[in-house]
Amino acid sequence: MEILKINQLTKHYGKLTAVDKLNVSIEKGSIYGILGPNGSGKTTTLGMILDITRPSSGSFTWFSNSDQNVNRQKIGAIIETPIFYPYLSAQKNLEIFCQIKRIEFADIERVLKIVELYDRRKDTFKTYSLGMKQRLAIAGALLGEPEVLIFDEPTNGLDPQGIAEIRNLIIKIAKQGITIILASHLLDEVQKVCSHVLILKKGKMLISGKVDDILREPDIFEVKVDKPEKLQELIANSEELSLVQEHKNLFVVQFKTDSNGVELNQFLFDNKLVASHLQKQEKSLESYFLNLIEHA
Amino acid sequence: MLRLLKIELIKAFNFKALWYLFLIYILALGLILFGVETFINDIIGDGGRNLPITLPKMSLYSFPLVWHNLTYLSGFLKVFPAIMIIILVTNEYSYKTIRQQVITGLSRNELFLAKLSFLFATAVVMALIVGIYGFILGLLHTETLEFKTIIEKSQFLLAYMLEVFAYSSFAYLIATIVKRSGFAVGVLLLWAYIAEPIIAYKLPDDFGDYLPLRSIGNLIQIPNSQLMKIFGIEFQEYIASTDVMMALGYTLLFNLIIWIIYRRSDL
Repeated sequence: MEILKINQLTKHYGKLTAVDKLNVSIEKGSIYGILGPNGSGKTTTLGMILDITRPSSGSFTWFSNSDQNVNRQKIGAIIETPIFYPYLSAQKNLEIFCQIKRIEFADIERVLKIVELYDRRKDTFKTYSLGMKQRLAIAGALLGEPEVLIFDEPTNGLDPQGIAEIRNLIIKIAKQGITIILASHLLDEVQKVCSHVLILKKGKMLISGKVDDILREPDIFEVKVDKPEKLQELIANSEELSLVQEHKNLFVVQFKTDSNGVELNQFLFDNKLVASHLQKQEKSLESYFLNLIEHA
Repeated sequence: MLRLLKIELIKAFNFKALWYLFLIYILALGLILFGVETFINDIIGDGGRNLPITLPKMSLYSFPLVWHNLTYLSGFLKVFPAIMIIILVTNEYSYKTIRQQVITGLSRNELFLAKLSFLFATAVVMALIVGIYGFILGLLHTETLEFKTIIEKSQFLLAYMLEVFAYSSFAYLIATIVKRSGFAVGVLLLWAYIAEPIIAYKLPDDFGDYLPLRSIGNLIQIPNSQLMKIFGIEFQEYIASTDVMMALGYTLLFNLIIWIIYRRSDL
């Protein structure tokens, strides 16, 4: 079932085009990542599908119908920083949420227990740490058991422990079959959490599809050899290998097709080169992503 | 509608500044309404000491005149509910909760109707308080109590309600445009006490009476007194339907502009 259909959605801010003719279709049960550097139009896109930002043109449809009022109650969302009334307690803040979503106050206990804030429910929002604020935002989004959850940079500004907590929470929620739309500038986050991904750059969609297909890790290796000049020449003429970067005779290379260290070693051996250093790069996906963004 | 009002009440009841304003309003109103008769009579007494005729002592509190007298005086305090509205509305911008409420699922229409319902509830409560004060004072100062005289002229309470509602709608509009509480209160006071009186003064003839706040204020005009009658001055002792139409028209206009802003803008 199609949860969200975005059709030619566009937003201009004066001369700047923040989102440019975006087309997206999101299926039920997927964890859909919107990936892109800061300023690529992620938040603007989410703002439009949540009705806080007015589209310049284009349209979107939730749940294949146009009854906004009913639809919005099936969506839980967190955009940017957690927003609550600072002088109200967590309980009171969530009571406002319940009134808006037309649900019973009884659900507050359930969501506060999920995010482990139940014991602090009577404290005012302004006394919370950033991690607790973010967890309360998630609790707010979970109220009323929505069918879709939208997270915008959910781990922004959190310490490593907080980041791990939030990610585990999202994965836990996803296991219950809720459709999740997650915007992030962190590739690693999308890769760890999402099933589908859309990559945005300057408001335009670069690519979209399954994470396994798009963010498949091409192997990238670091190599040092006895004759660097020869290796440089070989790479330049090679069909299979490409140079990612070279620094002080340390070559970072990438196979264009699937490959592993054995083939690289064989390639060097065939060309009578002796490696003094051969290592698979762990952070390869990040550089692959940057490469994709830069050259698109 | 009740659901939307409840949302606003959670925000308002827990915000201390609004409580303080509300309490100050009740206390100030009580002091003014209960003290005004003595105050005026003292002045008349002092001023009339050397006059050949004795000035009659005034009774502001007897039914049915009490309604006109008290609602007229209460009109001077309508700035309190207006500031309460400004705080409630601008808080939504400074906390960014106006965004969050739409994200949570409130439509833009509901966003507007929630505040409007609070405005209306405030106007009702403010009129009720004046009504309670008036009822108590009337009971204490009327010699022969009759149901007919008690409710006669009580339509002034409805007019006061409309006056507060219209004035608060103006404050709501300023808050929606300006978005910052201090600035919005400043603009309101500047317009109400400086800009509009100057414009009214500069305008030819009676055109000043068509300015927004002045026409809202015209709903309940200065009450007649025995003193004025001595000097042969006659003030309007009733609520004119043209004044009601003007106030309603302005209220509609203010709220229409707010609604359009809500519909169109990015939050």
